[in-house]
Amino acid sequence: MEPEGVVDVLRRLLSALVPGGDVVDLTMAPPDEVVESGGEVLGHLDGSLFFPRALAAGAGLDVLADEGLLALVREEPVTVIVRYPTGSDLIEDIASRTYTLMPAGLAARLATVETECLLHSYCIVRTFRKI
Amino acid sequence: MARVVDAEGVHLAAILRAADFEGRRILEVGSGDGRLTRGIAPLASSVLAFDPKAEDVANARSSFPENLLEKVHFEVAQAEEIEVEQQSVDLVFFSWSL
Repeated sequence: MEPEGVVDVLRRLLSALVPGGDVVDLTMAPPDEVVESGGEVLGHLDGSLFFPRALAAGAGLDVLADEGLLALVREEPVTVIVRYPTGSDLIEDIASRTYTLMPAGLAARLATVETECLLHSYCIVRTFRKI
Repeated sequence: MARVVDAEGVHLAAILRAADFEGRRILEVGSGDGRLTRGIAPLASSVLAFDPKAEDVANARSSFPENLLEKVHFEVAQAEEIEVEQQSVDLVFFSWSL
């Protein structure tokens, strides 16, 4: 969703929700995702383009909370692990993302890794209640 | 390219801690390949699941447990295009979609 129009979309979707209903938002959050293989941290992805967009979009819910339409009732950080058979598989997957970048040095290291690679992604799960 | 997302199940566990899904009508925005939909559908009374990627929605439909399909409706749509009746759902779930 484009951050610019997110509040309008949220407002419309919120009208589908009964009073007292819940909004659960799962979103990625800083710090940058960590790449690991064989127990060794190989580097971090570059989320400098992604996170400002994600945070701006997620802030749409805060706007509605500030307007008194929603109340934040719960927030929990979660770390999710994505497993890839090799470093090349991880490179290929990140290349399909629009706003997350693979630093050249990390890509060079990953290209030589023929064993399993782990990507640690940081997320936040927030729960709002419709007032 | 075979990747395995959240083999540990921490994602779904966190979602289920975030709210009560039991017997509720769910609107899921950004359902992807249905990975989390499969976890919430057994609890929910119904799930309306939207994702903009037609390929992901097709994969979700084709791989979904048959016994749960009657209460899950998958549709291809951007969040901006979703049309749902007013006050017709109990929980809206945004999965990496805002």
